[in-house]
Order: sequence, then C-alpha cells, then structure tokens
Amino acid sequence: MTVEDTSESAFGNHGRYLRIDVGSSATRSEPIDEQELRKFLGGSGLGTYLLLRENAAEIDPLAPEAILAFVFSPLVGSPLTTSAKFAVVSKSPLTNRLNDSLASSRFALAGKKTGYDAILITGKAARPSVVLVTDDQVRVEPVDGLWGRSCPDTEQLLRQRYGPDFQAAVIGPAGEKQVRYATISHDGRHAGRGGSGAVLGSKNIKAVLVQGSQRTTWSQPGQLVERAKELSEKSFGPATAKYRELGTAANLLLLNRLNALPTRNFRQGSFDEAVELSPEKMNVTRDKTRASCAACTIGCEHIYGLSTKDAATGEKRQGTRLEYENLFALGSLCGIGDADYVLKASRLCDELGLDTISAGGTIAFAMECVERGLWDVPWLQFGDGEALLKAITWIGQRQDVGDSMAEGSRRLAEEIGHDTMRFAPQVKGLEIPGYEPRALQTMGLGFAVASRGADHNRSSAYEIDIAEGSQRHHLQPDAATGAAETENRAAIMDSLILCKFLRGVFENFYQESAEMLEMVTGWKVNAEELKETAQRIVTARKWFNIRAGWQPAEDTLPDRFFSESLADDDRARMSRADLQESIRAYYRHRGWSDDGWIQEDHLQRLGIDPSQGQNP
Amino acid sequence: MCVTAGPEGIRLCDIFAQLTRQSPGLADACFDQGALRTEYLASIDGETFVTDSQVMVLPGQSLLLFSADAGG
Repeated sequence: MTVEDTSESAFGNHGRYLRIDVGSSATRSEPIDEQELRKFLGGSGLGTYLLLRENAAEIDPLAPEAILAFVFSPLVGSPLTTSAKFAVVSKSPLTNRLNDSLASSRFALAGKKTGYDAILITGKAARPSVVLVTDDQVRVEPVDGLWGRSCPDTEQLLRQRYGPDFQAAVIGPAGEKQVRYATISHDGRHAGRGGSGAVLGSKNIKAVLVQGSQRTTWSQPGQLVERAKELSEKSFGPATAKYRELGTAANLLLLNRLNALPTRNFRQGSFDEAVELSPEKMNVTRDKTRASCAACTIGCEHIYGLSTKDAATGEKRQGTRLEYENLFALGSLCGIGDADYVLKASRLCDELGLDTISAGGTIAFAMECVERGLWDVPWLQFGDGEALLKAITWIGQRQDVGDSMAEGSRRLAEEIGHDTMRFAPQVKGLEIPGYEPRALQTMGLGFAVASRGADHNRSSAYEIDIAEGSQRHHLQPDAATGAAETENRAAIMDSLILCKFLRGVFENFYQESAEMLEMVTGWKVNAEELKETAQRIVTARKWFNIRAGWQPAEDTLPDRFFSESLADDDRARMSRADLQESIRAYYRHRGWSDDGWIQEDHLQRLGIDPSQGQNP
Repeated sequence: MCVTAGPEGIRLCDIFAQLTRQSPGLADACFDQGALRTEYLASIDGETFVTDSQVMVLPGQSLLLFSADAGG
C-alpha cells in the first residue's frame, strides 16, 4: 500500500502520523498541526493527544477498534544522548485507563525515518501477522512460524526473514495470549507497564517492523551539536555514576536500610536476604557485562550471568539484564532470596514478554492468598523459586491458575473474594513498584494520583521523601506540590523524549530543555512555556481517564497501607485522612476541583480540546 | 565503617574527614572540599536527611551515604 503524503515537514517533526487498519489494510496519513506538536511535543504527550483525537478513551482496549500508537519525538534522531526512545500509548487492558510506556533504541530511530511522528495501529488482522512500514509503504503480512515464539527468538527470526535494516517491536507468547500486563519488546528492552503487548496481541499482530530514510532537519544544527557534546560530557559525570557502577539495582540495599523495600506482598519493608540479591554481591560472585541503548552515553544496563552452567551444553548461560524493579518484584516481594531464581525469572519474563512488576506483584498477592488459605494452590509459596518460575510460565501461557493470574492482582482479588482486595498491591489495577508507601509516603501520594496507576516513572515523589527536612513517615499536605513537580518534569522528559537517568545533570531543567527544543525545532520556547506544556500533558492524561470512566475513589491506595503497619517497623503506617487531604491539595495545585474533576474552561486554557466527552 | 566521636557527638564534616582517611577512594567520589557532593545525600538513622556538614551526629546514631539520584 502506498500512503499519500498530506503534510509538510517542519524542523524536528514530520508533521503527520500514519494510521494503519490491520483488518482492512487501509492506511491513511493524517496531518498534525505544528501548533499541536508544539503543545504536546512527542512521545507520551503527543500520544495522549492523538488518542484523544482518535476518541480512544471509550473503546474496549482489546476490541478491534482500539488504538495503539508508537510515538516518536522531535529529539529522536538528534545527537542528544539518550534521545533514541519511543512511547507506546494506548488504553490499558489492565487498568482501562491511559497507558503510556517507553522503550529505547533503534526502533525509535528507524521508526521516525519512515516519515511519521507516530504510527497508529487499529483493527484486527484475520490471522497472525506482522506490519512492515518503509518510508511511504505499508504491508500487513501473515506470518508462519512466529506465533508462540519468545521475544528474542522473534526478533532474530524477523532479522533473518526481512534483513537487518528493519527494526522490530515484538510481542511474546504473553501478548499473544493477551495477558493483561504483556509487554512490547525491542532489542531486549520493554515498553513494560500496562499491557500494551496484549493490545497488539488482540489485533493478531506479532510485530511492527520499521525501516526508512526520511530524516528530519534541525533548526540550529551547529548549536545542537555543541549542546549535544556538552550533554554527553555531563552524562559521564557524578550525577549518573550510580547507573554506570551498579545500575538501578543500587537502590536495593538503600531501600532495605530505610525499611522501604517491599517484601512478601508489602507486609514487610526489609528483606533478610537482600544482600544476596544486591549488585554489590553479584558483582563479585558472577559474570557481568554492561550495555547501553543506541545513542546513549550512560550505559545503565547491567547484565548478569547465572552462577551455574547449562546442564545440557555445559556452557555458561546467557546473561540477563537486571534492574531494581526485577530484583524487588521477583525477589523480596515473593520472598525469593536466591539470585539465580531472580535472574531466571527475569529472563523468563523477558522471553514471554511480561511486565516484571505486575508479574511479581500478582504472584506475591497470590502467594499471600494461598498462605491465608484463601486460594487452593498449595505449591505457590513465598520463598519457593521453582514455584515462581512455574507461575510465570503458566501466566505467560494462560495455563491452569496462570489464566487467573494473567488478569492481574485486582481481577484476581475480585475472583478470589474474601476481602482480598484489601491487600492486592495495585492502584487502578497497576501493580505497585518497589517503594513501600508507608515508608515513603509522598511516593504513596504519587502512586495514588498518577494517571497510569501506581507508577514510579510518571511520579518520582520519593525524591521528596528523602530530601532535607522531609518526614517520610508522615505525609505533609505541602508534599503535593513537590509530587506534582516530579510528574511535570517526567511528563516533559517522556515527551521530548530524554531518559530520566539524565535528570541529575541539568542545572535548570526547563531552561535547558527549552534551549535544546529550540535548537531542534526552531520554536522560540522558554522555560515557562515548557512548564505549561507539562501541566497540559498531565491534565490531558487525566482528561482521557475521565472520559474512560475515572472516578475519585480510584485515587487511593490499598486498605493494607492504612490498616496495617509494616511487620518490621510499627511506625510505618499511612493515615487515610492525611492522604485524602494531600490528594485534594494535589488536585488544587493542578487547577482541578477538590474531587479531581476538570472544568471545561481549564481544559481550554491549557489548549486541550474538550469537545468530545464531558464531565459527568 | 566506624568513626571516633566525642561524648557529645561529631560533626558531619569531621565524619567525612575520617571516612576519607579510612577509604581514600571516597574522597573524590563523594566529597568536595570537605562537604558532601550534591550528587550524594546523607541520612542519620535513615530518618533525617541532611546536607549541612555542620550537623551533629550523636553517639550511637548511624550515618547513611547514598546517591541523591535515588530510584530509577
């Protein structure tokens, strides 16, 4: 199919998106007004705008009419370090709310060179297929021999079939089975949270492949190259040392020391075997290599080998990328203190295409239900590594009780009943990441209000909890302002797109971001405009959720955090009244009503079109 | 690591000085002219988070030094 060009390219952007119906094979190039690009940038912001424009909020996320968007950004393809990233935006089958997840590397670069700022997928193919996008050509081709293959195997087979110039975003067996927290994977990195893999699987699409030659130009190329050199130099400095030395896994012992490491389904804040899972120990007891995404100078990926050799071949097993969230979710949260099991479980999630946080959270919840005698699955015990691997395998295949666990902890709690929702570790259905809310209470606020659900990427409110003068065990109403600011910064970074691991190198984040954006696009952007852009993006996400059925009762935490202290720290307990007061303060800071609704005039002031859908 | 303090405690800057003598590698990484670099944070007993190097740490208290870029 040849797609007719309907727009003109501006600096940094193509000014159009591609809409592909994989059921009818119809394709359409849709223009994006430059004003809208400036208002929403790219990545998460632009994806939110496009989904609102496409009326995706009221559609069942697994229905053929559902939309899934791969979204690039003005900075993709620029020399700025960490800019090779893309967003995957859709309505989540796990939360039924907006889901924007990010992944990295060459898919972003190749995808933007197809000539589009975003590629939207809708419809449902008649049989398992792949989508190929090359410059202005689109093909939807049935595939044989790929369905059922792991994520890494799929990418390898696609390279063999279509050549190395294509870059592929793929789903694994979990996405095919529409596991509600299945991922979309590229080169071993996952657009992990919220189940975008299930959305693609529901369309019978195994992979989207991109290859192109259409580069955008930059408004001030000489200055951009100089700025890129400066940014790269800073990226080698002390602000990013943690990521080079130990990676995000460096969080483990710190959070353990603060009684903030979620353990055994959030019943404890410290784990006796944390040292065994720590990168400090693994660095000296097993092989490790480092890797990085394309166009990244930080190199945060730490790949660890298993301590044993393959029984069949006698060879050292392939390494596994390990992040803090894997260590927590598949380690302490499930009571697993054996690093080999955590590495195997991580690798299994990578192969199946499963979000490790949701997998670990759902399994840990299930383990507690079993322990309490509320679910008859006697083999699923805390601390049992074989049980963890079996559970992940069955989830990925929707086999036996894996079918129930594939629905996530919220739906599993609804199935099991017995008031288990009280301790299902989720907000809006999204399982809670590795920060114990009772020990980092501003982070708890961030979890409660984030549009995606419990989320440590859209909110980094733990920064407030560990700042000078903080009171991390007592939520303060003025923490709402700080929590909102971390969301705003994240919204800009996820829309420019730049990796959040760069955040420490900026002296004046908004000013420096505005300068980089101007160098790329030519827009006369300043810091104040970007701050408003952040507000717009966060509010647009909320508006999507309202149109998708959001209610105020969703912005909270599971009852456990109010009714129970941590077993190993009796100071650690949240006050429901304090949280509700902070949530109201957060809403007021955002310009929303005290209950979190958004008035039409506020939408219009921010430049969000309220014409479709309305507040109840 | 243990540091030597008087009965009334010890200032953070003096703790830093002792630490760099015990572990010289910490000097460049964590400290700048006797003060903690902005890329690091100090916490007393995991409860109080401080940047002022004149803050007193009392006998029996523990000091935690960690990357200010927590999370990830």
